[in-house]
Amino acid sequence: MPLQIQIQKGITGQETTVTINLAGSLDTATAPELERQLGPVLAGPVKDVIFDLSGLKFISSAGLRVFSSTRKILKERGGQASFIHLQPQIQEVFEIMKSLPGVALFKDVAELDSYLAARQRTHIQS
Amino acid sequence: MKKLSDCRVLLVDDTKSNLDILVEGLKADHKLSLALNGETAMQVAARTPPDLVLLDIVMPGIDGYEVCRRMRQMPETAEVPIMFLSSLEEVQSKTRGFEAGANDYLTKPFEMLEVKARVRSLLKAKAYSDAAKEQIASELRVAREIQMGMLPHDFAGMEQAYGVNIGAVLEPAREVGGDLYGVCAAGTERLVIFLGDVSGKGIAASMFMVRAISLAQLLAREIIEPERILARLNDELATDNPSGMFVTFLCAVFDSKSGRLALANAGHCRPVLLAAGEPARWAVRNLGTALGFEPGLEFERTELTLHRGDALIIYSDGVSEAFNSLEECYGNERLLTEAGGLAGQSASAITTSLLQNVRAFAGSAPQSDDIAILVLKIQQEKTEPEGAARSLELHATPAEVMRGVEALQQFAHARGLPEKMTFSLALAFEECASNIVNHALQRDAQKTFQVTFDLFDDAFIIELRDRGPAFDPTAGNSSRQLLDDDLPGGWGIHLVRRFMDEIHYERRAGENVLRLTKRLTEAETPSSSTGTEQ
Repeated sequence: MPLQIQIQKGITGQETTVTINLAGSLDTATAPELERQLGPVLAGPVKDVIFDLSGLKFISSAGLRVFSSTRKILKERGGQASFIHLQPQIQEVFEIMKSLPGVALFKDVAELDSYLAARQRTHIQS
Repeated sequence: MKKLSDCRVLLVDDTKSNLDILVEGLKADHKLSLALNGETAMQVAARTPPDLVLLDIVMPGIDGYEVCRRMRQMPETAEVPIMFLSSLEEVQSKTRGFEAGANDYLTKPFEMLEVKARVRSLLKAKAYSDAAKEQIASELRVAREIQMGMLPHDFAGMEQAYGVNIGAVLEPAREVGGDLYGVCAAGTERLVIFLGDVSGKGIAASMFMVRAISLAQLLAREIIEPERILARLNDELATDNPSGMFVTFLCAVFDSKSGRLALANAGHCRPVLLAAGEPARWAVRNLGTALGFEPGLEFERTELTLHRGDALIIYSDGVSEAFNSLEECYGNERLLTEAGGLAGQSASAITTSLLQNVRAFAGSAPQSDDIAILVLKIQQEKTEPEGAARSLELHATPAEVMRGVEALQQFAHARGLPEKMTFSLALAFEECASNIVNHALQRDAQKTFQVTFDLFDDAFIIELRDRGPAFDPTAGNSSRQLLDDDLPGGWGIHLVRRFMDEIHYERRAGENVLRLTKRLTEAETPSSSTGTEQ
């Protein structure tokens, strides 16, 4: 199963936010391609990346590794990586990751909606 | 044949001068042992068995008659020629000597020439009979090899093809015997097993056995119904059976797809059925008539369904009619009880345990009859062909790992496993396979590793084997992380641990062997598979 990657740059006034739709399988074979396509995105002024995983059916630690490094880069800029529309099996993997000591990556999944809402209010106000 | 000069003659006489004369006369031609009384003679004979005994009758202590009788009882000297040399001339004394087991009788005083002639004659006769016995023994050894060679011993191929587990043993009471068994792959889903017992023992029984087993092997492939196999076998054996021999015979035909077992019995001991969770019971009700008496007989058919874990034990009466030294019989009740206790074991373990149990019961009593045991057990794995394990060889690249994942998903999907379970299996497999590719085999696309998926009643097992450096991913604080090193503490192995129930690592014959087990609950076990391979 391949991975489809669709990158949607933020609308005008919100260039710092990028939504990335992932569909298919994010695994040892496809993770390098996601990493390659993320390179130019992260080189820009982006602060927040929203990964929309509604079409993602499979993920392994190779994929998680890409999410982790993306989050690290964004955090250094005061930004954030967020994940929405997780299918149950992907949700379970995230839950397991959350339970591991020292893994901060996915703690914020549950609070994503309120976070996004807050961010968007900020953008609108500014 | 033994040379006469190599033959040892034991001279027994309480008069030393008599011994001297015999020694003088025989020492050039034979090896000699001497004894001055009966007790010493027995000891010498036991220590160095002679080829001939020259025995005085009137001696202090036990006399010559008694020595002769005792030597006939002793295995070492039971068949050694014994010649009395005695001054007792009466016919009654001579008759008594022959009745005690002697082969010859010469009265004193004797002519040395006559003694020497008789000694040579007796030794020659003994040498001839020894040579004949040895020839028969060596022919029997070859016959035994041929007979044993007619019995199947390696069931691995059939076990896999039919989803069964087979155990068998046959121990003739003598060199050759009349018990037989067979296991025939008669069709893609039809396995025929049979076991028979020819009347009598020894060579005649063994020859009839060879005829019966050869015919049965042919008919088992030709005919579908066990009762018709028996009818045809009976017709063949009953026609041209001048010796009037017969064979009791049990034939079972197993359909691996439906689990149906059809049995027909021709006068044989009733097989034992070990159905999971039930006490042991007879698999057929009636004995039927043995094969070989008259052509045109018909046989009854019994049908039952074997479920996974069920076992059928077929045996010969060497088991049920084994006797101990108290003349007690092993018996049917004991057999049912003992067999019931073996229900959880594999087919070969049931076979071995039952044989050991019969031997322990018989104790020191000699084996009175041939013993044959054949066990058919239905494996715990799914028995339909698509239930067979799937094995793949993958090259050390990420794309190949994902090819393995897809094969695993198809394998699981075709067997109706839930999506959630399939995801868990795929994830655990991907993590472990990636680990092998990235670390053990260093992404060298020339190198390969092996994976096997296997679905059992209660578990799904994934096995991965690579020839990389020895590494145990289940060991903590290992130098080689299961996952990428820049992630905290091997996320991959955490995921595998959370999604699988058991991870077992073993270094075996230069290979890393990793075995992942996912236990299936009742609800997850696919009772019938509706999906198909894509």
